[in-house]
Amino acid sequence: MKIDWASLALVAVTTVVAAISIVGIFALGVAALTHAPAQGARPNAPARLAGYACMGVAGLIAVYGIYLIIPAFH
Amino acid sequence: MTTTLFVVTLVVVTALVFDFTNGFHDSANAMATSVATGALQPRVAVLIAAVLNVIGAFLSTEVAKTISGGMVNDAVVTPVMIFAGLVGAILWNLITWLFGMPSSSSHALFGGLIGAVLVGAGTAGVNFSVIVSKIVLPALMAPLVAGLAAGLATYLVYRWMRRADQEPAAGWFRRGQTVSGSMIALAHGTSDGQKTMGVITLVLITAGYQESGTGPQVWVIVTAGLAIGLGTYSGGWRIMRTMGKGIVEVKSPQGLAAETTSAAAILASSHMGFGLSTTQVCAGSIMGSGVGRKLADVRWGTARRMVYGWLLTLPAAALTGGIAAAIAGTGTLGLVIVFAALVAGAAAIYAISRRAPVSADNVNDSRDVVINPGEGEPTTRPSEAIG
Repeated sequence: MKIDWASLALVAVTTVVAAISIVGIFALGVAALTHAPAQGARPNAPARLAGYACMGVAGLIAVYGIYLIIPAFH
Repeated sequence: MTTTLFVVTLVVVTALVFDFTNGFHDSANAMATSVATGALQPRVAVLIAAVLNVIGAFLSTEVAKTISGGMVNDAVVTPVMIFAGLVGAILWNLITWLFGMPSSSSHALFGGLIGAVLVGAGTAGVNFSVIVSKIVLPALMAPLVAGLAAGLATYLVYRWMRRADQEPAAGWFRRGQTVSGSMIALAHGTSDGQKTMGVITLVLITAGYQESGTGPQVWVIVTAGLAIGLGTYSGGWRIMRTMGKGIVEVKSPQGLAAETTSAAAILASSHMGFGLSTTQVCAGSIMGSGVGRKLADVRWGTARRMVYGWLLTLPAAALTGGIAAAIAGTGTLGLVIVFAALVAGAAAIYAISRRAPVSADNVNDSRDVVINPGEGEPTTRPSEAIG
């Protein structure tokens, strides 16, 4: 019986790294966008910019995911 | 009508029915946590999943070349065996649905086929080592890998943001969930949508209605895509409840972590050669997201029953498929008897499900899927606002 341990390990590591990175980036963005300096105040401009940048990166990763899903692209 | 045409018609109809059960069985994989956290209204969630499944089915250009991926010797497989295998898979899918158990539709199909081939062609037709390396091992690894990834991701989120599951952060996570759930639905359509197309196409080729080596015909693509889409839209609410509420009370950051992990695991496994079952990945992610959040209560009893269900799927579907093959192999009358038994069995299971129905309206009201009304543990309404 032949078990492809190498590709199993690759899938496992990729899953863990990808999940942590994507969720991490998204959470960072959420943190930046919701962390107000005072109750009821909006986050300051740099924080908002960083937050939207994180969301943008997460969005690009989603687009890459769609690219991987659709077989016609590769 | 010739016998061949009769058999082929029967197989095509049964394959489409299987595709439908595949759709409602796996609807929960993509949408259960989004429904549970209120990221999407139940009916909107299944509509999105259904549309993406149909799109995915049309997008998949490469149809499975083998039915079983080497688990059985495809040279000995006859249309009657495929029919019997499909019957076994459909009945097992319906039984697990009745109990609200998420289980792999692909494993049910493989199991049914294996049983049918064992009866029809003997042990020589079945490749047992491939079964271990492609079914048993992945069934153990998928929840571990997905659970670990989702657990770590959830832990990180709650480490950074103590109020991650409160507004306004929760709203962002719910918005993110819409995207991550949709990715799973699309990926599901491209992989499972084409399985039924592959089965129908192989039957048409075997029976001489189609040139060997040609792709699926347009009507096959359209009907298979619609069958899985309709199945998805019908919701499979019993399984949706178990996945969204039964394993762990999912909050939106957990839902995002679980769905993102599932999408990553599905894509990694389909592109790196170690196939993992979507159902087992998604259930593992949800369990992991429960462990990763502080004080989250994973209901291990439900989790354990689910794992038993996964291990039972192959033998149970094989047994049903084997019995079906033994009867259907006797001739046209046998085929008709098996088909009648399938219809009767499906009707009986549906009738039992009506005693304590689960629908879009009450999917989030309880944590348990029960056979008799009044049993099971109710949920408290989620504290997050639905918006």
